[in-house]
Amino acid sequence: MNYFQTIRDAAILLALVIIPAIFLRANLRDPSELSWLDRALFQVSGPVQYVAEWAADGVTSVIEDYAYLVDVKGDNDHLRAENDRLRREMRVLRDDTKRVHELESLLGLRERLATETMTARVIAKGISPSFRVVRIAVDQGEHAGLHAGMPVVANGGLVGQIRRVSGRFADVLLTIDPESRVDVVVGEGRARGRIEGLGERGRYRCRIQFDRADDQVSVGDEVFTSGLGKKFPASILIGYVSKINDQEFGLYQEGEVTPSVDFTRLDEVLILTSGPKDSDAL
Amino acid sequence: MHGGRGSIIIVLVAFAMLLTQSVFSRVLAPYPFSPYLGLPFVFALGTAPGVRILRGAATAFAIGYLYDLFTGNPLGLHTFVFVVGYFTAWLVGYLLSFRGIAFEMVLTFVLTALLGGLVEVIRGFTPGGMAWSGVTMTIALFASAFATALVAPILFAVVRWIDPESERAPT
Repeated sequence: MNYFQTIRDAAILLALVIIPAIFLRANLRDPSELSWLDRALFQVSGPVQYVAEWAADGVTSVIEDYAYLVDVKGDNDHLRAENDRLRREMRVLRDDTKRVHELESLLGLRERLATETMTARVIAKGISPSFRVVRIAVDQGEHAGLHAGMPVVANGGLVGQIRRVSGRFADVLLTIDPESRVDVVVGEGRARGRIEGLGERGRYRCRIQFDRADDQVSVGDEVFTSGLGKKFPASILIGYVSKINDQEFGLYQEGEVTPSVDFTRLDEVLILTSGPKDSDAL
Repeated sequence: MHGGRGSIIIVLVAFAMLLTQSVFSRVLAPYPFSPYLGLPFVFALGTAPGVRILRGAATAFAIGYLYDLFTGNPLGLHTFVFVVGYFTAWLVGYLLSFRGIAFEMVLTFVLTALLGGLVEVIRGFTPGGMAWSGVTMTIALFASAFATALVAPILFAVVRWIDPESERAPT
């Protein structure tokens, strides 16, 4: 390295220290006390500094936006998970509320029924190809003292009777089953008759046969258990007359009954465990 | 690699680390353990036998200028301090012959604490400058110097990796 290069390097090194020191001095001074040298420095460095800061702001904002988006994604994931959890909890609470209402209804029903009852939960439903319930099973059985023939009711009315018990479970014969027979009274006129399930797979219907052909009944009349034979307590609602067949001749009058119980929504039922006393409950 | 190109890459890496630190500072280095990630690059250049003093000072100038630009400090503050830091490291490297991780960490710790103190002293002259208590400032300085010393060996190694020529003494 020759002498001039050494001098040049030394000058540059000195400048590298002095230039920032001068700029720093100018920046640290009160703006009202700037000298002509400070003002000249700002005049010269201003445009350069402006461009540099503009570029710096651009880079910083891009990176900060990216970091912000990363944060937003994290927040979104967190909120989505929170939302899913709350939805699950809400579903559980809704189910609980529904169950509480059902139990409250059953409690009211139990108080109205003048007989001993047992609450049971529906644990299985047999579904037809057309999505109709054709049989149900409950979570009480032999160990709870159940036996075949005990009436099963829900808040809406008569569900059926215990068909058979096995261990801790019991099958229920629904009123819509072809094997089901119930003595009934209908409407204000207390027309007597009996219903049997039609066993149709596409709809819930029972056939009703009146004892007398001249009984005054009409569509919409309520159908209750008669209590005849002491199999079912009297006055438990079964359903409504939905059709009366025109039959000018013959000994009997026939029609159809739509059950008042919605079998698809059954979750809790009451089983009447003692013999019927005097019931005018439903 | 040619020295000038190596310096440009070192400046860009220091700049990238500054940006990363500013964006993820909460996660990477909570206050007061915020390292001065630019300084170890300057010290590494100062103590590297193969780096010409002019190139090292210019690189320190550039890194300091970017610090000023992106940290919103008065223009010239970090530029001045980084150039001073470079000359101090060069002097230490000239006077002391031993090297190694321990040297890099001790050098970084001492110089970062001193230069951090210099930054705070200069800031004290700023109109309406910060009025920290002595204890708070001391804790912040030493915590920052400690954090910088911890990462220093990695950054020294980064400089050697970017610019292998820096390790070769001029013939």
